[in-house]
Amino acid sequence: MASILVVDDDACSRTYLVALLNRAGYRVQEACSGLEGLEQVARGAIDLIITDIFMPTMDGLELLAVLDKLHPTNKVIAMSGGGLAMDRKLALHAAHKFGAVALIRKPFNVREVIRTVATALQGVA
Amino acid sequence: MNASQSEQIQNTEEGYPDFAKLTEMREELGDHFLLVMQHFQSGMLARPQKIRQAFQNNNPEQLALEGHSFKSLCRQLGLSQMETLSVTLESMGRSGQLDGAAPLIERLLAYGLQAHCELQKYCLACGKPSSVQ
Repeated sequence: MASILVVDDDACSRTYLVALLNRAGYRVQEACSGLEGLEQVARGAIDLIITDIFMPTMDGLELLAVLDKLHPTNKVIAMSGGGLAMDRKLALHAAHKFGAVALIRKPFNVREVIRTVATALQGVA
Repeated sequence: MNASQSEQIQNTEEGYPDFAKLTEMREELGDHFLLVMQHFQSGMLARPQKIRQAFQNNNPEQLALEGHSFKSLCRQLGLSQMETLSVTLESMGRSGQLDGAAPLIERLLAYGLQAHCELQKYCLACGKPSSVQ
């Protein structure tokens, strides 16, 4: 069973995504900030990280940059509601630049989430 | 119906989530649905309060962040006017211009309360009591 870490400061989005992934059969951990996510990644045994882009303290792009240096083999999916600070295209571009394999959009489309996660985890037992 | 009454009705109706979306979520989440709804319900009360707190603290950056987060939650539940208000407040926060934000925040609080009640009623109708007050 693949293990996924969900990083999002918004408890509502995080809980929703964790529930979706649990129901889809994945083992899921959660973190409410980039820093907390980094700590969990350092403990190992995570196949995929799904991180929000806009977060206080350490945002998703900063997390991606650190992961790219410290844990380059970890697969990462970025998620964003788009919005004013950065539109979806820019978010996708930035996320790819920092090593994200895909982008999930908020609000969540369940089929899109499950498909994107399954694609990212191809080859993981 | 005059403009004031029309506005009042519009406001009163705003706190109603998209029940088709809720039903869809319920099917998608199964046993996890009520847990997620508890978070959504508490968010409907707490997030507008955080927006108001940021405004009262004259902290535009925090207001923008809270508006940004709440926007996603509103969109997830199909609360389009609340989403629009959140986007507007996020924009005001980012620009640092908070003039006129107070009445928008009060509307958001009122809508949030309505939405909280509607979610609670929906959860009760699902057959299990909701623990979030």
